[in-house]
Order: sequence, then structure tokens, then C-alpha cells
Amino acid sequence: MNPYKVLDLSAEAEAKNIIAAAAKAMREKKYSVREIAEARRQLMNPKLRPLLDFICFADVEPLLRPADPPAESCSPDELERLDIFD
Amino acid sequence: MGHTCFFSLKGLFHKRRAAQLEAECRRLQEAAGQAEAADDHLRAAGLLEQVHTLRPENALLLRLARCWLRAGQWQQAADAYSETGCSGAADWYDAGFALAKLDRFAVCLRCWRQTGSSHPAFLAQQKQVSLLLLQELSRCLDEQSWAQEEQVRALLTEFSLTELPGGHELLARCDRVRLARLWQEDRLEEIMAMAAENDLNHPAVLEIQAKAACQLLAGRQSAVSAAELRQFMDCWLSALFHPAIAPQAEAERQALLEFGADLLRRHAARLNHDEQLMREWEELLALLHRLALLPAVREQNLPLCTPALALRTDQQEQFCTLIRTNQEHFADRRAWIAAGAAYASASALLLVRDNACQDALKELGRLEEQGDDLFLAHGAAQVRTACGIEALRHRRCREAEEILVGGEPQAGWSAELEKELLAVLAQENGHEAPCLAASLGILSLLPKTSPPDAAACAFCSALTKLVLRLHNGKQARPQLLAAAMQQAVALNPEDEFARMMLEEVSIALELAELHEAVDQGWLSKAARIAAASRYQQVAEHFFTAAQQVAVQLEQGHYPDDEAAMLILEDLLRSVSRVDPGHQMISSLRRALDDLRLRQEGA
Repeated sequence: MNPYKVLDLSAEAEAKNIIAAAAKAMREKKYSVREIAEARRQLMNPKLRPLLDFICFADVEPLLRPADPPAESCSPDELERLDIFD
Repeated sequence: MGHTCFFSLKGLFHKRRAAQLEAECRRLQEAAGQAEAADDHLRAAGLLEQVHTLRPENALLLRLARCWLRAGQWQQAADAYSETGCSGAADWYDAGFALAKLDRFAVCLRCWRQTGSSHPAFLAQQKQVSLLLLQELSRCLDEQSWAQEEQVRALLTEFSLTELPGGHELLARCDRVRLARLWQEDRLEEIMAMAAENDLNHPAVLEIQAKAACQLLAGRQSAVSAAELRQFMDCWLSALFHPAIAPQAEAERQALLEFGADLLRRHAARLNHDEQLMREWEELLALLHRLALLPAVREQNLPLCTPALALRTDQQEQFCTLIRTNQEHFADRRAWIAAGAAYASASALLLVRDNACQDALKELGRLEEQGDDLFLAHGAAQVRTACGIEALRHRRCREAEEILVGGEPQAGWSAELEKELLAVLAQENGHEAPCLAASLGILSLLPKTSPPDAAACAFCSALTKLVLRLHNGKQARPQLLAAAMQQAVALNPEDEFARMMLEEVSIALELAELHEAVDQGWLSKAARIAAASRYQQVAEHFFTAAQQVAVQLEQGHYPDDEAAMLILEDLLRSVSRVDPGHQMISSLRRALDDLRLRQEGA
């Protein structure tokens, strides 16, 4: 369970944001009370917080970065009709 | 009447109109034919299109499609082929060709598949179009990664594009895009499941794989398999020793390592694998810490990974070279070789870890074909030890001996091997004798110490007890029992009971050999055994046997006098060899003299 996802928070969230987010999550009822309480407890724990920041966030941009295109082939204009089927 | 007249007129009008149409179509078709003959396909197509408007027919549409194609009107040709359907290889080819010209490469390749042709020129063009499709898919992925990933992957598979240059890379990109999507959508189980396909050489891939595994283990209450826990170990440790992934602050990195260890401990305990898995974790962590201290790693900020990950990402050789060229930075030679072996023999060692000993031994054979290498040899010895222990655990003692001592290099000794071998010697299952024989071979691996260490004493005692049991039950050959006791006394010469037992089985062995010689009629051999023996019992048994032979001679149990004389001479020589003053000698001489006199008289 990712506590940031449960409370819909970013890595920069401060204590007051966490409390407000927990209250909002309770109202929305997308997660159980237990899950929300656990997420709040984890994010409010200053020792656990750096670990959670590391575990719960990853930059996906390098995975989406365009790569070198495949080797150049001829262009469609250069294709010539074959007469082997005539 | 008026109506009838009107209808007849109308009928007449239609007939004339139809005839006019027919004539017009004929004229247009003839003109189209002439245009085709003059290679003016554009004009021919225009004429045929008029005919088709007047009188739509499938055959005409097909002819029209061919004309559009020859006129280079790709869109019209493609539309016409699509409307009429293709009837043979030529039409499928032309339809595909028009589509290729319109950049619709995937549909083109599907049409061309229908030709069934393997003509070299066709195959070459098919490859050109496949490459064009590959480029197009690459562009699609660049522009709309999320939306296009699944379709690109499907087309790569459908047309086997991964076999083309750049195809495999594009599939790897699809994998990365999918991983990013799964991560964003929090689909951790799926990320774990696709770990085997992912390129963990890519730091971002490794990072997500490690973090997903960690989140999954942290949140999961149900049991996790040992394979999943090992996957977590490899990814988590490798990520935390990767400069592009691990936190900069050392305290934070340490905290994450401890967090990983706690997670592993919690889940391993549920599997009753905690000891083994935690040992593996500690060994991997120690190995990576050792490598992280190497100046080359620190100066160049090199990423490190576990041997399993190095094997998967083809980095084994790099790690072996790193270790090989940095011997002076290891605490001792042993640690240096062990580190190198972990990477060099990873493929076989991992199979052992997964209890696939037969596969591990096969893999060992493959590795050994690569030539002599210090790291490989050490790894091979580790594999042999582990596989030998596994065979012993299943009481396949002969096989264990063959694995442990039969190969080159031989296995090394270990506490686990000691434990299993002692268990083998203590067993009572009717297979003690063959297991004893195999154990003697395996014991040659036990390091010799003086004075004997606890292991040597334990093996001496275990061998003695087993030999006593087999000796009393007459369940083993005397040669084996004597060999076992010689080894037992060699292990611990101070063991009184073992020395007594050695004497007991040595007497039994000599008696057995003596009786065998007598039974075969080889008195001189029996005499040689008795004369060489340190034991009185052996000589006594010899004289008893000699006495029996003498009695048989006295009673006339011989074919003729000449034979009797030969036996008597042999008997006399043998008895004299064992004891020149024995009382039998005088009576034997008398009997021999009597026999000679009788022969002379005759």
C-alpha cells in the first residue's frame, strides 16, 4: 500500500496537508478507515518518511524517452512494383 | 387497351435504352482496352470507371483496380481492391503494393501474407516494408507512448519484427513504457510478474522493479514465494548499490538496507526459509560492501549488482575482471577467490540454490569447457559440494561420492557435508555397506589435523560403530570393514575402541583370505597368509586346515600315489613355512617316506 496514493499526496506534503488529506479520504471512502489511518501514521512518522519518499516515488520520464530510430530503410516512394506475379 | 399500348411503348423504350447502354459500355471497354495496350492506364481507368458507373460488376472493378495501380493512383487502387476483394496472388500483391505506397505498411504485409510467395525478390521487398513499419512504429511510440504501446507490441509480434535490426530495441522500449504505465497505475503485482522480461541494465527499470517489489512485500500479508523474495533481494540490493538510484546520504541508504532486511525476515519466517534466505542476504550484502570499497568502484562511481542480476544482464565478465584486477584490495586470497567465484559460476550456483542439482552439474560441465580459471574452479568445487550434500541427503551415497571426489576440481569440505555424512554413517536401513564404501571415499576430503579435531574424532567413532554393527551381522565384506577401520584409526589414532575393532576386523579379513585359499586348494598361499599374520588365530586355523588335508590323505582320498605324493610334499612345505618345529612335520615326513617306498616297490 502506497500511503501517498491513499491520501492523494505528493512527496512535499507537510503535516497539515496530511491531516487534511486523511479527513478528505475518510469522506471519500475510497479506502478503508484502517488503510487511511495507517497511511496517515506512516507519513507522520519522521523516521519513516525518507524511506517512504524513496520507496513510493520514481521518475518514469527516462522510460518514456524517445530512442534512436531503427535503421533507415528505403522510402515508400522507392518501392517498385514487382512483375513476378503478372 | 390504352394501358397496354403505354406499357408496350415503355417496354420498347427500355429495350432500346438497354441496347444503347450495352453499346456504350462495349465502346468504352474497347477504348479502355486500347488505352491499356498503349500503356495509358490512367485513361483506361477513367473509361472503365465510366463503365462501372453504368454497369457495376465485380470483374470490372478488379480490372479497374489493376488499371489504377498501373497508373500509380494508389488510393483509388487500394479502394477498388478493398471493395472487390482479391482473387489470386497477383491481386494480393498489387493490393498490398498500393497500401505500402500509402504508408499503410501493416495492412500491406497482411495482404502479402496471402500470396504465399517465397520468391527472393518478393521476400526482399517484404523486408523493406517491414523495416518501414518498424520505423513507423518507433515514431508512434515517440509521439504517443502510453496510447500506442500495446498496439506497437502486437504488431512487432504479428510480423516478427524483433528479428529485424532495431526490432528488439523497440520491443524493449515497449517494455519500458509498459513498466512506466504499470508503475503510475500502481499495478505492483504485474510489475513483479514481468521482472524476468525487463532489461534491468536500465537504471530506471531496476529502480521501479526494486521499489515495486519493496512496496508489495511491505503491504502483503499473505505468503510470498522464495523466488519472489530472491527477486526482491537481487533488485533491492542492486538498486541500493547503484549510484543513479541509491540515496546520496549514506545513513538513508543504510536505513533502506535495514528496512529491506526486516521485510525479508518477516516474509522468510512465514516460509520456514528464514535461516537460508537471511544467510543469502547477508552473503550478498557482504559481497557488495566488499566490492563497494574497491578504489576502482569508488573513483568511477561504478554501479554494482548481485551475481544473479549480473548473470541476467550479461555483466558477469565485467565483474570478474573488476575482481581479478583488484586482488590486493581484498582482505585475503580466500575472500578474493570467493568473490570472483560468485560471479564466474553464478549460473551453476543459482541452480544449486534452487535445488536443481542435476541442471547445476550440467551447467558446470558447460562452464568448465570455457577453460581453466581460478574463480570457475572455486565455484565448481562449491557446486560439487552442494550437489554432493544433496545426494547424501537423499542417501544416494555412490552418486554423492562420484560428485564430490570423482570430478576435477574435487569438492571442498563444509560443516553441512560433515553433518550429512555423519547422518549417513548412523543410518540403519539395510544399505549401510554401500554407503560405508562411498563414505570412505568422501572422507578423503576431510582436512587432516594433528591432533585430531572434533570432526575427525566424530567420524572415527561413527565408522567404528557402523563397522561393529556390520561385522556382527556379517553384512559386509571383510575387506571393506578392514579398510573402514584403517581409515577410522588414521582419523583418530588415540581411540582405543577403534584400535580394538581394527584388530578384530583385520583377523576376520585374514581368516577369510586363508579359508578362501584352502578352499581353492592353494595350501602354499594359505601358508603365506598364516606366516605373515601377526595373529595366533590365523596360524591355528591354518594348522586345523592342514590337519584336515592330512586326514583325507590318510583315508585314501586321492586319485593315485603320484598325486598323493605331490599333495603331501606341498603340505609339508606349507606347514614348515608357518612353523618349522610343528608336530605335524614328523608324521608328514613318515607318511611321505612310506609312500616313496611303496612306489619304489611297485
